[in-house]
Amino acid sequence: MRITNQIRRLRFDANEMTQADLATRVGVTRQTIMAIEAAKYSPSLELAFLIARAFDKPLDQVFQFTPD
Amino acid sequence: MNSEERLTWINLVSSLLINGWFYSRIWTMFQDGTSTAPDAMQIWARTVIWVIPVSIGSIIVLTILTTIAQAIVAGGKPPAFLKDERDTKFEMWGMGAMMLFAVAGFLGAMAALALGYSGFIAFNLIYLGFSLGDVASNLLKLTLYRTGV
Repeated sequence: MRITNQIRRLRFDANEMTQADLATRVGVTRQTIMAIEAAKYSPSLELAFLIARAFDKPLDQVFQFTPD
Repeated sequence: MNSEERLTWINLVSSLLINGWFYSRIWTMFQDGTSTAPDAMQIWARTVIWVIPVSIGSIIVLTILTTIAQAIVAGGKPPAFLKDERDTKFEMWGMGAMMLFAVAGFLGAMAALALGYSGFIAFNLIYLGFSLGDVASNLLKLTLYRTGV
């Protein structure tokens, strides 16, 4: 099972929002955003919703569940 | 590298230095026969009591020094101290590793006592469990920070 995401593309679409900007908006470190983007860390449901809200998108447009 | 990962490195270095010194002292006690002296446990306990504040002090000093160094490298901007859910998750995994070694150390100590070894050996096994657990916990956290989970 793997959780993929569209954060990098969504950041680009949002006036090239930086990882640091997104991290500040959702209250985590830039390193955590980097890890999530690289699919090296699966965020909690709360953080996932916060990230989706930062892009004003529904959760399933930001995160996708891909079974192995 | 975020502040928690930096702190983990500091804890690891501090732990290796302090425990290295502690085990060299214990080794000396074995070599010169102090470990079998009537006051061996008293000497051992005094050493452990010193290790605790020295460990805390070394972590504080190393944290201050690395913060200053990081601020200098970043052109005077102090590093942010933010702990988030990823840090908390890795900390819990680290605690799990720590507990594993601590329990093993305790069981080892009980086995040693049951087999007739001295209290000095048993207490050292308990300490060994905690110190190895601390190192294992920090190494696990650093691995998780690098490879992800």
